[in-house]
Amino acid sequence: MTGINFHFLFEQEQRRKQHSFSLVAMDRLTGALVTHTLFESATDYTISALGPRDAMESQRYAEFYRKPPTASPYMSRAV
Amino acid sequence: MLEEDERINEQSSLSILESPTRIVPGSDLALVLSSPQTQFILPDEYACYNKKSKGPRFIATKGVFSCIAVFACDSAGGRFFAAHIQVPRMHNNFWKKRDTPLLPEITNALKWVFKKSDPGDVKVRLVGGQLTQDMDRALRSFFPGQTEKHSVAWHVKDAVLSAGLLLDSESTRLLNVFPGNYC
Repeated sequence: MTGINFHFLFEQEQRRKQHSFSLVAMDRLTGALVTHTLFESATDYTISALGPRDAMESQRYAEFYRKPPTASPYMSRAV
Repeated sequence: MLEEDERINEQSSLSILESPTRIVPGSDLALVLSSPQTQFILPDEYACYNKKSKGPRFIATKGVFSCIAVFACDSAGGRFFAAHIQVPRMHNNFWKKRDTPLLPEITNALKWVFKKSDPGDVKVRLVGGQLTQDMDRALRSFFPGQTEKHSVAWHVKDAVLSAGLLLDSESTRLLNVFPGNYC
């Protein structure tokens, strides 16, 4: 029982540590900020985007990945 | 009402809910993701707009883990700036000139976009970063003895302030809010 509790606490701690912003957006008209966070690490996030974790979520991510990169004329890239 | 919605969204982002976080149909996030007026910027890219009539309505970026996203908006003037800054970009810039500032392109772009704006009208938001990775090992070696320059967030703030813009407590409320893990 102790082991299970420990595992639960460990999981909670890992989730807390890996909590991060997965998507941030701003509305140009109002300046309102929209944020979305995930628990997973970057690797898990990629997997979740590709896997059938949630139909709605997967569809949205799949749509995003199909979009070509939208580059502005002022875009800058690292050399 | 808008500020209240924004605050509720922030609070829900910061609270630990069951995993995985789901996108709720009809939410602000679902709207942004599905809108044809959304432009995504990739890591190491920035986008500028200085006319209200041109460009998409939403500017978004994904995967802001230990990176920092910069948003600056002058709603009245229609001027807008967004960037997704990765730490390796700072390292690259250091090796080019071996001196600060490490993000001159961000400062120059901000100056260009908001040259006709009153700094008090520009709303700046810095989002992302993780506490454990903020004190960067490479930055420590680049700037020995200059503790403040070991922080990734410091360089981002410096880029914004150097452009003549203002930062308040709201600007940095979502900066380094999560502990993160060492790589």
